[in-house]
Amino acid sequence: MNFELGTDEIALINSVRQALGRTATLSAARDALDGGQRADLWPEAVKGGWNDLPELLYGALVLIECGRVLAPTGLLGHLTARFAVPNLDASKRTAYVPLDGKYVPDAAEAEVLVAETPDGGLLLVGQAEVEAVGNYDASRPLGNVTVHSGTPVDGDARHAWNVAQTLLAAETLGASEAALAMAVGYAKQRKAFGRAIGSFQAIKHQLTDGLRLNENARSLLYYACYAAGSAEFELAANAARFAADQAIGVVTQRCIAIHGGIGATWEHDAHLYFRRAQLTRLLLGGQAGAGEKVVTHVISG
Amino acid sequence: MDLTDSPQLATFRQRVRSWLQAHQSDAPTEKTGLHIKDIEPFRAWQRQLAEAGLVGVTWPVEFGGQGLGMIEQAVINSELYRLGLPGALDLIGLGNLGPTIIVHGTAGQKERHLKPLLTGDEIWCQFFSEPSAGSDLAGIRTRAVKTDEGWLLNGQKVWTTNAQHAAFGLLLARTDPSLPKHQGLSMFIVDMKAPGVQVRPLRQLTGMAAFNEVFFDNVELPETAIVGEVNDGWAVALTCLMYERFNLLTMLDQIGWQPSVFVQPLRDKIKPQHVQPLASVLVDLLAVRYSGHRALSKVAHGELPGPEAGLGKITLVDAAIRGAQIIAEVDGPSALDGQWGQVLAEMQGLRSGGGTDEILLNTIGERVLGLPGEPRVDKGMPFSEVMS
Repeated sequence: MNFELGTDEIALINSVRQALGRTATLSAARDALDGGQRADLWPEAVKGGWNDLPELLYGALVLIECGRVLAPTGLLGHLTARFAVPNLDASKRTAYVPLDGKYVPDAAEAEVLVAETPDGGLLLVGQAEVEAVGNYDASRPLGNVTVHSGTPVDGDARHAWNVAQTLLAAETLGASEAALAMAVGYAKQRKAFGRAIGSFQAIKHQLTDGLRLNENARSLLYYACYAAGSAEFELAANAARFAADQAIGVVTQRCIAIHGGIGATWEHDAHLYFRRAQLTRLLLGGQAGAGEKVVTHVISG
Repeated sequence: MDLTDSPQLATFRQRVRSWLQAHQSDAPTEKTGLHIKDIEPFRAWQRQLAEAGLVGVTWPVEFGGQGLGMIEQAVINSELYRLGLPGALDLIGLGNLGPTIIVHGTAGQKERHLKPLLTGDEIWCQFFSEPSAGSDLAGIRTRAVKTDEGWLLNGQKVWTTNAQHAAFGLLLARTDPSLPKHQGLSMFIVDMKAPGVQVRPLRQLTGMAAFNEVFFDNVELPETAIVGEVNDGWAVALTCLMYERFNLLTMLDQIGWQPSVFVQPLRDKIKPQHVQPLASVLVDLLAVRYSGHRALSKVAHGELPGPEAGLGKITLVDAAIRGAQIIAEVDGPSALDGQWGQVLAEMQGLRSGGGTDEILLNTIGERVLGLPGEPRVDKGMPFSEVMS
């Protein structure tokens, strides 16, 4: 039994962290809300070889780090397509398009699109229209896609969907962990009534409960990566997705509140994570869609 | 991520499975849990398991154990669960108290007590909490005063599981009130047949009495009753609490609340308004299971279990309550008169068992997140001043 990270995994995490640290992703995310250029770290992803990872777990670990600094890398869409369609050219920036084609992560920047078909197959898209949409979380590029033509490729749309849920859960978890760390850091430093506010149970318990939610999400993410080849994958992936949205929803609001007034200002990073939480829980079928799948799976299982 | 057994572990699992299959007809038929009516079949079952080397597997071989790890204990638990069989009767003795005696006890104590504990011939209980000290355990007031022959014990303990069946208890008492509260404590072995020990069942909100309050009125303890050094009882108590966390980990695998338990009664009856609340329950139960696997992996690689294992208990209790409430909503008021009303009631007490939510959140917030501690107004004060 081994259900924790090993030295290879930790080395990967450290290298991703270091590479992403070279870009000021958070200030870019804020500027983009005002119409500035959002950062694009796809070149960094290619340089690190993250566009061509051999296993879902590695993909998840990279996306945790991307989520932690709200880095737009294109990897959510790309790695979903990559793990769903094994023979794709990994060097080409790809995105996965679910059936409804609305608010599709990473679609607008992709060179190649892999789209779900109504019969549960996958299509390598030939002609399509992609329109960039949404700016509530400017660090998250989204597009509306209308597919006109394409050629069928090997792969199962259901599997692709579950991969997407897993990777989205990973990215969300990273953001949630960052928001918690930000709140914990402030609670240790900020004093009121002669004490650091983190010593008050009203604050301490909120933060520790955030840890509980994040750790639950992390355990289920590992479960999803472990179950990727099995019949349990649907349950695991949707449970991971549900738990990550649950965690970030709670943590990002507490992060703002624990900072007091400063947490609700434009200049503070807390709202960038709050925006991420509010948008993410609506994407790719939404948290509620994942919840329905969990219940259906357990009832029929 | 890999949950498959190593070759050695697979062999071990196969051996456990074969033995259990061959002997399952000897297992007690009464449902296991906190409210066992007749313990004798459970005692006999523990003896049989002990003879087969299936209890105390983490104990060193010289004390009757197998010298194996928590992972082997988890394998046994999961195989018992698979066949719907109960485990050993005295989980607290085997899991917390025996190992504490192995660490801190004298050769004489180990020789006298470990074997009958292992076989279930002598059940043990843990005397830590008191009416005025639970979360702040070091604030206990039960006194042990030195005499020429040994120690004289006076005081009261509470929430004591298995005291009604116990032959011995491990008891934390104050031996020097002039010292600050953590420093004046010592740990003792108490013979439950000693004059002056009185056990009263404590009826809980469930209607049943799973634990007890126990009174000590001028109980004479021999010199040899002390475990560890005089006034070093807090260190012994911490060892015991650490083993409690180990046990929590291996039990999460086997807790009996697989997600299907809460879904079974709802099949074909679930309405749209129940879907999301039920999803949240199921996700939490799964999270507890896989967090348990993570923690067990760390232990298997030589790390000590951290206090964060307590987060699993918070999630589990909360999820079980919400799950039972959904079932009650679907089935209507009649559900409360059956199993689910019982689960709802039982969980209320479990919320405080093994640490209240609040004390767990304090400890984990401070030790894991590094948040600053609560102010302690009694810090460094002689305990006698704290009491006055």
